[in-house]
Amino acid sequence: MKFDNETMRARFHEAKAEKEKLEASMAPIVAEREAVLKEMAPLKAKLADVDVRLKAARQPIYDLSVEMGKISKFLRDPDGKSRL
Amino acid sequence: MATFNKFNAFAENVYEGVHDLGADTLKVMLTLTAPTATDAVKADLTEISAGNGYTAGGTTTAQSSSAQTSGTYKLVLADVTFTASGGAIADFRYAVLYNDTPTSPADALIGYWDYGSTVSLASGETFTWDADPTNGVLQHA
Repeated sequence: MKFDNETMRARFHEAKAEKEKLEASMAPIVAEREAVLKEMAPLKAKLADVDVRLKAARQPIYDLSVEMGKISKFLRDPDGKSRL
Repeated sequence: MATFNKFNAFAENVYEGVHDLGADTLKVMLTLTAPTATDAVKADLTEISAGNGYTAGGTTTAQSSSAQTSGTYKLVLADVTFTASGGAIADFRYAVLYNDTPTSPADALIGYWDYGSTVSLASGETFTWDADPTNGVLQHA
């Protein structure tokens, strides 16, 4: 391949045309993916609602776990272990 | 607390929608075999045997917050206490955090902590995985 300006310009346009052809052939796959995502949207909304309730339910478990951890660390012996 | 070591795959999985760290079920499991950064899923590791207070798959750690402040993300989790009961828990040295929710990849690894030497828990003894409520277990700027 030559590297003069004219050859490079020609190659640029050739590559651009090739890229556009490939993008056109890929379009149905992109559309298919977008359709799948659209189908998932109601489930995602449903999951978001469950997540809100899950996070609220988790908070007291977190608080108790932290309390247990603090007690365990407070009672830790020199060997790093606790005897509870 | 021992230092957090990230598994390489975690960096990619975060950006490809594998994890919902605010809602998924995150677990801490124990192993005596050193993990490597290239391990990606729980099946890549050798977990200690279940029994005497240790459940196969480890123990769930509850999330307190999974949020960003000024562009820095922080994940705050609850401490996990492992108590040997009715006998010793199998020896371990590493605690591994993984996500139990995703199915593809299944049980994606997040990171691990090396406690420097083998930990043995006789019946009645407790080991606490300290999740650092101030700084969280991981941050990402």
